[in-house]
Amino acid sequence: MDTRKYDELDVLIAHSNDALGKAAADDFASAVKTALESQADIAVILALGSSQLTFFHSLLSRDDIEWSRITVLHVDTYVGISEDDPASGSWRLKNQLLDHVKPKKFLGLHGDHEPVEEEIARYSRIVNDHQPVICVMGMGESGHLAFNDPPADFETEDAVRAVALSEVTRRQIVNGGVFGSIDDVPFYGLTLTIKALLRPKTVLVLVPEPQKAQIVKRVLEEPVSIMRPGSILRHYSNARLYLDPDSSALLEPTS
Amino acid sequence: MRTSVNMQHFKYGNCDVVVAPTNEALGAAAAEQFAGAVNKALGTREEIAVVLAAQAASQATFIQAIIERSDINWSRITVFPVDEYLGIGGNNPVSGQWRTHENLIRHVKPKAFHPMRGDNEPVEEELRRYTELLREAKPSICVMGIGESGHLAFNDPPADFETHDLVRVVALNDTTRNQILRSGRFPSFDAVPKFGISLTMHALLLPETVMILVPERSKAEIIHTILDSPVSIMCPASIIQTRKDARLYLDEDSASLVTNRQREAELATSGE
Repeated sequence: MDTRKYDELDVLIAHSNDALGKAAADDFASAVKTALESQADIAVILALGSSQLTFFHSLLSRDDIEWSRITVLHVDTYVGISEDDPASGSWRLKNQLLDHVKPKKFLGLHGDHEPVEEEIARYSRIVNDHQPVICVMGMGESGHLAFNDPPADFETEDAVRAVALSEVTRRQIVNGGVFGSIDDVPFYGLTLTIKALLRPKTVLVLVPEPQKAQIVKRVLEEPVSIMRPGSILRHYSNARLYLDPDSSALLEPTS
Repeated sequence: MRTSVNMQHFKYGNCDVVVAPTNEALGAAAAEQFAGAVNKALGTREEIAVVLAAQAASQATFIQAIIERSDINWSRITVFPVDEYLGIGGNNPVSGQWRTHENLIRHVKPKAFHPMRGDNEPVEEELRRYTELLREAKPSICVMGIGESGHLAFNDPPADFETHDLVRVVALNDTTRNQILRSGRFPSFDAVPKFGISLTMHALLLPETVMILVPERSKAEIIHTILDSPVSIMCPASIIQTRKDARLYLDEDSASLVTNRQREAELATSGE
């Protein structure tokens, strides 16, 4: 496993997507264990998407994670789509992971709640009350973390925001196969903000797969900018970025 | 303010709404309020700054009317625009800077004009530079329109009502990009910029005088929507109902879908 440093950020390049999932699950399990030594229960933030699949798979094969002491929060959801809808992140997160590992609690975002300001206030309280200790997420083809597309707000202290989804993101969502066509993909999302995502003590960002090679290169090699949201990871020493040979293929060699 | 007997008035929360019979009458009435506000401000200050959306076609009758007035001392006025396309420089005729210069600046020769440099990189540097200019100038008047998306300047939904930043980079949504496409300045939808630099909602509503000019039939749907909307980030212009002393100017075309219920409900809640 190749390791590199981009500013403050540790970057791991795994031999394969499977090895990436295993390494991330190891780090997750060890962060959970450490946190549970000093707290009766903890909260973690989890994301969803094809980038998280090998990680989930690896979590499912482990028996050393005390899920009964873990509350799970979610990174983002579509505005206008309920948790019962199979297109929602909550539904798929339950289906792919939570129904199997049975955490203490899952607290999802209610994308269909109106007015949206009320849901933002409710979920902000949840995030602030639970003070999550771990966040595991991916990075989109637009460079987004959760739904924070460019131009991302690096400064806000709000925990949750409504955001517009960029065309790049809406196309990536179509390719995910959950929606039939781009016209069916929501225009807005609710998302944890950049600061809320990066506040936990341990932040694991899993970015395998070839379609991410271009944005990985830009995020790591071009200046840190709100126009490349993931580039802010380079200012966070508590974050670790996991790549595989495909997603790291375009990176310049480092000494 | 003195307005002609042909004007209709009603309230949208705290905000005054004026319906002029024509776009020209709207421009003249708004120019009169503007001149009054300028002269009041210049009564206590050596010079003032104003924020004007002079690049926009919707502001044309107002801009023409303030150019023609002889009672506005432009040599004591600094002009700021509301927004600019990201990645487009002032030498490009499609830029807000170019059009503001064409439509207004070259005619009135203000003390200064501070365009945003849409092509300045990194954009964070331009945000810092422009924030400093605005903080220094503290504009006392803002005159702008409302887009078909409900935006003020380029603050498309979901708008940030909370930030105290003065300038932001924002993404332009499809409604706004289609509206820009229809203006004929770009050859295709793909050529329309995806991002803009914009004064924030906070910066736009900070001046003591806030005027929102929305003539034309193309705005009738969004005006109807706004008047029915609670204050919501999903309908950015809905914030103006909270702004005391703000004034929304419509003409018969943009007000054509305003219902009697909307006019009367607003009158009832305003206690008149």
